[in-house]
Amino acid sequence: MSPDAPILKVEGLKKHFGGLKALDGVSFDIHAGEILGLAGPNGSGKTTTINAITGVFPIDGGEIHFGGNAIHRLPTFRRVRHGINRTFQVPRPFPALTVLENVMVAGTYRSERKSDPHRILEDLGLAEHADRPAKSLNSSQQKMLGLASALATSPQLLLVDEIGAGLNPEELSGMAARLRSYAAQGMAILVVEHLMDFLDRVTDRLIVMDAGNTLFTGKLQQATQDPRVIEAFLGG
Amino acid sequence: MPKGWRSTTLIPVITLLAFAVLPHLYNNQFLLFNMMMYMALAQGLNIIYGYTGYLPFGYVGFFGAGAYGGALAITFLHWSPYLAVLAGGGAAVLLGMILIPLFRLSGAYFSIASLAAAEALYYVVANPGLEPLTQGPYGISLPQVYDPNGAYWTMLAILLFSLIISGVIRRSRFGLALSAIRESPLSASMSGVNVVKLRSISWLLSALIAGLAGAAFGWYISVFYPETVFGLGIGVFTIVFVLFGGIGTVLGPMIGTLILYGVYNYIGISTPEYFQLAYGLLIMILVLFLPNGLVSLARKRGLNVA
Ligand SMILES: Nc1ncnc2c1ncn2[C@@H]1O[C@H](COP(=O)(O)OP(=O)(O)O)[C@@H](O)[C@H]1O
Ligand SMILES: [Mg+2]
Repeated sequence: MSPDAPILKVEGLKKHFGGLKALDGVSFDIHAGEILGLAGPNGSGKTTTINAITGVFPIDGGEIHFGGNAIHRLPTFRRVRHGINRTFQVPRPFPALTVLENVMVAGTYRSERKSDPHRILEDLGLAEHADRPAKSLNSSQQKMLGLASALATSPQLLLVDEIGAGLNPEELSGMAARLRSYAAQGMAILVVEHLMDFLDRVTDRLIVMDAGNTLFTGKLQQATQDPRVIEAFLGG
Repeated sequence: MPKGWRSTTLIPVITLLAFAVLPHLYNNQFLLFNMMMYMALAQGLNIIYGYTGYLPFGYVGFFGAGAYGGALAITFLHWSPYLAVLAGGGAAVLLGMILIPLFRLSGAYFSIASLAAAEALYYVVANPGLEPLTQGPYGISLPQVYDPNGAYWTMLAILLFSLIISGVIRRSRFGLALSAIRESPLSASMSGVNVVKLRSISWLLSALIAGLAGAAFGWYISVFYPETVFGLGIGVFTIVFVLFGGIGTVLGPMIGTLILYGVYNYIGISTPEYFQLAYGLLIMILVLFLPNGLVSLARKRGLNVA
């Protein structure tokens, strides 16, 4: 693999649910250290893209290469151990386990890149809640815990699903700074987001999806002027 | 020793002392034997249900497979009863492997399918056509190895084994990963947990314990019929003892068995059919109102329960 090859290469991704084409041939790349934005109206296939990359369900067409290897037939835990992780749009912690245990589950794997659960909790401002059951956290804390669990597997590719929704302006800037610092350390990040303003703070490269297709790929500034993008957001 | 591990060690030690001394104080050895048996079964069921959340209504199938596996090893291979108990464990593990595809089912479907599997095995074993092998409905008799004391100590060893496995799981990363599977299989795999493998390991451990216990039981009573070892009563009792005491802990199933099997023997022996009814109802009430059992009440009061 050449040094400037993308770490993730998605080609012609297809996924249908019954008659609904949730993904209809989606392609894009991400390089190490890069943040790529993924926007699009509700139901356009953003979460489905993340689910397909993390192996939540089998895909119906296309290929996914990570670090030069085809991964689209691997089970989720193998993809995670290869260095991919994500957050969920609606957090899915282990409710009865403590915050620390939630992160420790993930910390068990990827022995070659061990993470420190305590440090992760410290960094994300959850250290004081370490011994509380995850279900007792409020929703923005649960989002942070979701991020903590993902980080605990030391991902080289992180997929974040609308992590900005429901955060207050201060938390939003903190999150933007955090994502930029992960990227600065070499992590590739796909940021699925509704909030253009938040995307603007973390990246200048953007994909816009609509109805399972990529409408637009390019600079964020151009996206906001592209008539098809405007149509999808306003007309959708 | 960290605090958690101390109680994890204490439970097997106290159990060993109690069941080593009790036969000298109390002359109903069969009751003590059954108490140990249910405690072991409760730990075994706890490993699969308490940690991964799958409740096999047909758990007794492993017990029956163990009883017959052990008996066949004695009858046809002329193995010593101690080796035959291991063979019984092996038979249950084999059955467990065959049943692994049941995990594709979720929740209640899994529970009922495991019950159907146990019933199917019962009908196979009890089939008169298999008389040359299993004696069919006429039952097994093992006079050549009759030795209640030997079987008693073997059951104690099985109980200790089940307590140690259960305690180690509770304190280990393996146990943490199993609890994660119970809470959310999808999030567990997103944490890098090999859900299929870990669930299968805990399933087979759970089967192993029931198989060993079944074989030791067959040896102890030395004459039994298919319905003795595949009877739903054993399965219902085990489930109710685990639910009552508290899943996902080592102590819960012990306390549940001690209390409910104690009560059963104190007033229930004369009217066993009412007890199966009562305990069936108790399962429903527990699942609805006290899903984490007695020890969860203690935990709510701030006690750290092993
Ligand atoms: N598991 C599923 N089963 C059936 N339909 C689904 C499933 N997941 C997503 N969809 C449908 O696929 C389309 C894309 O959904 P999604 O990827 O969640 O959109 P979004 O861009 O809002 O994240 C929607 O129409 C949604 O209803
Ligand atoms: Mg979505």
